[in-house]
Parts: sequence; C-alpha cells; structure tokens
Amino acid sequence: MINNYIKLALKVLGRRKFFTFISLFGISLTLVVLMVAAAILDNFFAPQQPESRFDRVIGIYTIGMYGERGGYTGNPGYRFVDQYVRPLRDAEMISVFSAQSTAVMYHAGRKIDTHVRRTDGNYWRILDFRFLEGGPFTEADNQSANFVAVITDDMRAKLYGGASALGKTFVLDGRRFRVAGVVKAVPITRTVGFSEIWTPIRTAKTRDYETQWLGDFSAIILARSRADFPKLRAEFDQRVSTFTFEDPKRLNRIVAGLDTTFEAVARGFLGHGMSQKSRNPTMILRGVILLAALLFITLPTMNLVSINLSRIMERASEIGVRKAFGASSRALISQFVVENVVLTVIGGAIGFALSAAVLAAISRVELVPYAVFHLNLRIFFYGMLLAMAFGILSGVYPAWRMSRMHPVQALRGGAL
Amino acid sequence: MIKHLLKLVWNRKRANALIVAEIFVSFLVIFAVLTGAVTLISNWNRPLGFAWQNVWDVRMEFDLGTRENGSDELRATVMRMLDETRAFPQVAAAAVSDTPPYAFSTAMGSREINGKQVDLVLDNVTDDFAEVMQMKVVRGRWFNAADDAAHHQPIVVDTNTAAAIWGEADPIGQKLEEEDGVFTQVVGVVEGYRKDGEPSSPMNMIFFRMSPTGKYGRLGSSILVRVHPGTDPSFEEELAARLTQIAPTVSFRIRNMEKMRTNMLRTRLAPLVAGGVVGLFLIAMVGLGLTGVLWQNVTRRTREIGLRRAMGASGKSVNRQVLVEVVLLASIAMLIGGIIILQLPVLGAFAIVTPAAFTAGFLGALATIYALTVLCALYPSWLASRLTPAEALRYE
Repeated sequence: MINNYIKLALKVLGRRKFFTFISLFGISLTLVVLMVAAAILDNFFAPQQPESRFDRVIGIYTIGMYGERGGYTGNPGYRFVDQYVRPLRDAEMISVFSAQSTAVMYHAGRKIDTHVRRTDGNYWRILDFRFLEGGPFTEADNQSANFVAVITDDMRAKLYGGASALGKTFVLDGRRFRVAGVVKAVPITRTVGFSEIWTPIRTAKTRDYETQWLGDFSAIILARSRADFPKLRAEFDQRVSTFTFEDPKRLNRIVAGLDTTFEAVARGFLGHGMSQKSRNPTMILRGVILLAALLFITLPTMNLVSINLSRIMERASEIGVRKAFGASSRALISQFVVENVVLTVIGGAIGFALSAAVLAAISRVELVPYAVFHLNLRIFFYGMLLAMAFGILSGVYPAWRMSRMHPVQALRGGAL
Repeated sequence: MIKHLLKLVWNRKRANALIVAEIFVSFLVIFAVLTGAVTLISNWNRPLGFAWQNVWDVRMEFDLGTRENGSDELRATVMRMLDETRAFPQVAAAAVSDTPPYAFSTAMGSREINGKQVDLVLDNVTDDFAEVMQMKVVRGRWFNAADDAAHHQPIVVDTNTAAAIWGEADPIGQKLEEEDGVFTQVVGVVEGYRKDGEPSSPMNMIFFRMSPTGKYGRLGSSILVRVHPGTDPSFEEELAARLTQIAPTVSFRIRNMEKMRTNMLRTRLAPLVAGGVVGLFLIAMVGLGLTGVLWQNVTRRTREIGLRRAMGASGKSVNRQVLVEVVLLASIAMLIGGIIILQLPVLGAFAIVTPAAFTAGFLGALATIYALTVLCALYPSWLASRLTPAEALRYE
C-alpha cells in the first residue's frame, strides 16, 4: 500500500512542476537554515576534542560579587579558585587555568597576533589534546616557573614555517619560551580548550594574581562520574557560604556555582546575577532556542499548507472517484500525508546537501577562527526528523479537508 | 465595486484566511528587517565623534583586582609608559583610556537624575584623549592640567548626554552626584561619541578625567597612541621593546585600531546579515507560494470568470478583479499587523529604535507587501484575463 502511495506521490510531483518547485524551495531552504543553526550550536555545545571528557566535568567560569552600589561579574581570581575549588574532596582531578587572552608577538621582524592561556599541569590530563610532537608541560614545570610552552600547529607554521618546533624558542611579552609540544589547532568555540599558546601559570610577570578574589581564572573539576555532580556542588556551595568579605560595606554578597559548560553559557545568556536564582538555566536556554525555531518555522509551514491545499483542489476529481469507490477518509488522509512526507524528505535531502555546502563555506572564510563546522549523523538524524514532522504537520490539515469533501461535489471538481 | 469584492473574499473566507495569515506574518518579518536596515544605515551615516585612523592601542593586562586596588605604584608606572610613548618623534599624541573605541569593553552606569533614569556609557581618560581621538568640543573646553586644582572631578559629556540630562539648559558647570556627597562637574561638551563604531546607535557618553596624580579617576588600561600618518609599521615593535624595558612587570599588547574596527564591524554585522538573508529567503518563499495559490485560484474559478466574460466584462476588468482581490487580502492582513505593530511604541520600542526608523520600517513594509502581492498576482491575473468566455464556460 505504502509503495503504491509513494509511486503515486512521485507521479504527482512530476505533474505540476511549478508547484513542486515551490514546495521543494521552501522545504529545503527552511531546513538549510535550521540545520546550519543546529550544526553551529552542536559545534559549540557537544563534547569534542580536546574536551571529550567534558561530560563529567563541571567548573567555575564566572562569579559575581555584589554590594549595595553595584558589583562585579567576571572570572574568579586565582585566590578564589585556589581556596574554594582546589580543596574539594570528591573530585578525581582539578585544574586551574587562566582565561585565554590575545597577545602580540614580534617574531623575525613580523607581527603575529595570537592567544595565550596560562595553565597548571592537570589541565593537560583532563583535556585530551592531540599532540603532533613533544608533549605537555607538567605541574613541576609550573611550580618552578619554567619558561616552556605548548603551541598549535598553526602557530608552528607562523613561527617556524612548519618545521619541527621542539626545543625552539620564541619571545612572548618580553620573555623567551621553549616549545615543549605542538598540538593540533583548537576551534575558538571550545571555551576551555581554545588557545594558540599555553604557558605555565607561574610564568606570569608578577605574583599579584595569587592575592585576587576576582581576576581572570577558571577551574574545572573532573568528577568520577556525572552522579558525583550534586555532591561536588553541595560541597562547593557549603564552602562558599563561609566566604568572608574584606570590606562588607562595599561588597557583601557572592554568587558562585559549579556549572557544566552548557550551563555556563546559559547563565551568561540569561545574565549571571539573575540566573543563579533559577537552578536550571539550561532549560530556559533550550526553551528559547526551541521557541526561536518554532517561530521561524511558522511561515514556511503556513506556506506549505496553502500550497498543499491548492494542490489538492486540482485533484478533486481523483479524490471524488476514490471516494465513490468506497475509500475511507483514513485511507485518503494517510495517502496524502505519505505523499507530503515523500515531498519533504526529498526537500530534506536537498536541504542537507545545501547545508553541507553552506557550512563548508562558513568554515572556509573562517567566520569563527579554527572552527570547522560539519554535519554529523546526529544532525542528519534531527534534520530528517524535522523534515518528517514538517511534512506531517503541513500535510494533515489539507488532507483532513480533502477527506471531508462530498464525493459528488468532488467529482464535479467542487469547492472546499 | 470594493464592497462587492469584499463579499467575494468573505465567501471564500476559509481559503483566504490562510493567505491573510501568511501575508500578516510576512508583514511582521519585513517590518523587522526594514526597521533594522534603516537603523543601521542611519547610524552608519552619523558622525562617529572620533577618528580611528593612525591610532594604536597599547592594551595593558591588569586584572580587575589590581585595578580596583589601584596601587599608586601601578599608576606611576602607567604614567611613565605614557610619557615614554609621547617622547617618540613618530607619536603625535598619546593618552590613557579605560574603554577605548572598538575594544569590546564598555563601562556602563545609570543615574537617576531629576527622577529620570538615564543610562550612561563611561570612560576614564587623561587630558590628551581629545587630541588622540580628534574629538570636536562643541561647548566649554576639554580637560587640561589646570583641572588638577578643581574641587570636583571634572567630566566632559557628549551632546547626547547633555540633551538627555539637561535638555536645552547649558550643561557647563552642572554637577552630578557620584556617591554620597561626592560630585563631578561638567567642563565641556563634545560631539556625539559612539565608541562601538558605525553600526551602534547613539549613546550617552561621559568622560571622567583621570588625574595623573591619582587624585581621582579609575586607572585606564589602554594607552592610545596617535602616530603621524605614514609611520612605518616596524615602529610598533620598537615601541613595544621600549615599554617592556621601562615596565617589565606590565603585560601588554599593541593593536592597530583599524584592525580592531574591522573586527568589531564583522562581529556586529554578521548576525544582521544572517538575519537579513533569512528574512529575504522567507519573503521569496512567500512570494512563490502566493503566486502558486493565486494561479490555482484562477484555474479553479474559471467558470466564474467565464460567466463574467459572457456577461460582457472585458479581459481588463477581470484582470483588475484578481488584482484588487489580492490587494484587499493584503490590506486586511496589514490592518491586523499594523494594529499590533503600533502597540510597540507603547511597550517602549523607541528605547531601541528611533521613531524615524520605526516609521520608515512600517511604511516600507506596507509598500513592500503591496508590491510583492501585486507582483505575485500579475501572472495569474493575466492568465485569467486571457480566458475567452466560450472556453471558460466549457471548462470542467
């Protein structure tokens, strides 16, 4: 039966080419927009190298300190993470590192713009970078403030023309670093993993950072399993509740919590101070994304429905004949819905191919540095699901209208 | 004639409701896109209030704590770096700023003045800032060394701030309360200043004078350097080496403001362009869909049209009937859309867009929808007018 429907559907599609074109144009481009957005979001939020283990990582990325006359929201300082995160007992491993910052190097008479992040030794054990040569620096390197660095292959090409970089040196911010390892370049969308040069924390010019509650540091915690998150959070919250302010007249309230990277983004999106009240910012962000997608899809759906209605009119006499010979409403509805799903799946396939092309173009012009967007099976699956839903949604109403047509009227080519 | 057509439209209300709904949503989309575009274009044509050419930004990396606790020692170091920079023959002027143009960092505040909440953008700058950024003082004067003796911290506001707080009154000499009993006093007014550059809407800017002695003013984290035109790029490395030498504990990086500008524009424009492209696609889709539906309508109403022709209606009048019907549908849709859009100012839309951009977007959307619907109806209506009575009546 389904086979017959599909055969029929393809025949119908070939008959009125203009209508088929309109439908396919709408469906495929709608899916392009949705799939490109999905691929970009997926690239941001799905764990991928070097953050593959992030499904069991929570961290502290932002804290807020407030008083009556305003306050600060930003990265915690080294002192804060050192005293309130490092001692957490239930963690498997904890890493402290600075936010990546832009830097400028003058190398062999050329200016090189780059990004630098200062990290401890554990950073390299929690994140799984792909080392092309050499290896990471260690906590011992950090403790004794050795001027060693890890760079990306992209930096290697800029500094040494792609030749092996091990043991070679470069000058950054007035000091000379020796290359200990080279990793594959990381997309800028990796909030924790991204940088182009990594150096030990203690190679900073002064030790001022060690005294600061607010600054430019973050910490991540590798839990033994996700099930440990609540325990870690409770322990952390308990510790933070004992925080004492140096000058309670100026600042007297602290907002800090352990988040997954997605939660951190959701919090940033909702505004840090406010979102602490709602323990579940990700739900809101998901809701907002879903709502935006639904809003966007309204117009294409309406368009498809009206086109479908028009198409059915054309086939009024065919429907009349089928009804006269006893076809049930259900059979007619399912026939038409199958036809519509066939149409949307074809549109979906075109849309998928177009999305791949658009994403390749976005990656090529480096709209987002070092990020390579591509479609994966997950997005393909969601895209197809979406296309099906789209097809069913826009097919059901016209089909229902059609099935209610009186056979006699239908045979005469009558009105709906 | 119109009344009669309205009746025809009403008789087919179920089929028409969908078309009306579709035009209604398209109207909202076009309104949003056009208002955004008009806002962008009018912002682009507005003066920036400064000149970014030949300016370099020496961005120092103090973290929040260092700056807040702002040791005198650090301030002295920065002032020494400023003096050293100025000593180079390539440098025309140099000044300290906290949140320079195109830097993606903004200090914001809001003050309640005369019971009115005014949102402000703040910066702390030294005396040469106006010269470095080539700003135009329209009233009063810019900061100078004599301000060291001033009782209240001197501030310079831009014309937007002056208008927002004091309206027509002369702002020079006016005081603002910063904290309990601590006042700042206006010494000058500069032309409207938009630090985020061309795409940004006008904002209320206040410059606080940062005194070199540390009497007041938050320590800025950028040294802005205006070099003479044609300065060799290699000077940057020379400057960097010199600054590293005199301030070994300060981490900094030098950026060309031209590059910062490109970066800012790209970041600001990318979402607008993406939104515009998606909007255009939606409109194209609706246009095609509408053409299809109207075409189908004409075919379905062949007999009705045939009857009219047989009764003596000319092809031209049939053509007009189809067009006017579409225009009627569009008018109904936009009446609903218009009622909704006109509620936006009540909800505070003018805080985001100017009334001019709003009006332009509204009228533009009206015109676009009429043009689009008529365009979509042209081919179907031509088809309808070509039908001969005999052919039409025979059609089954």
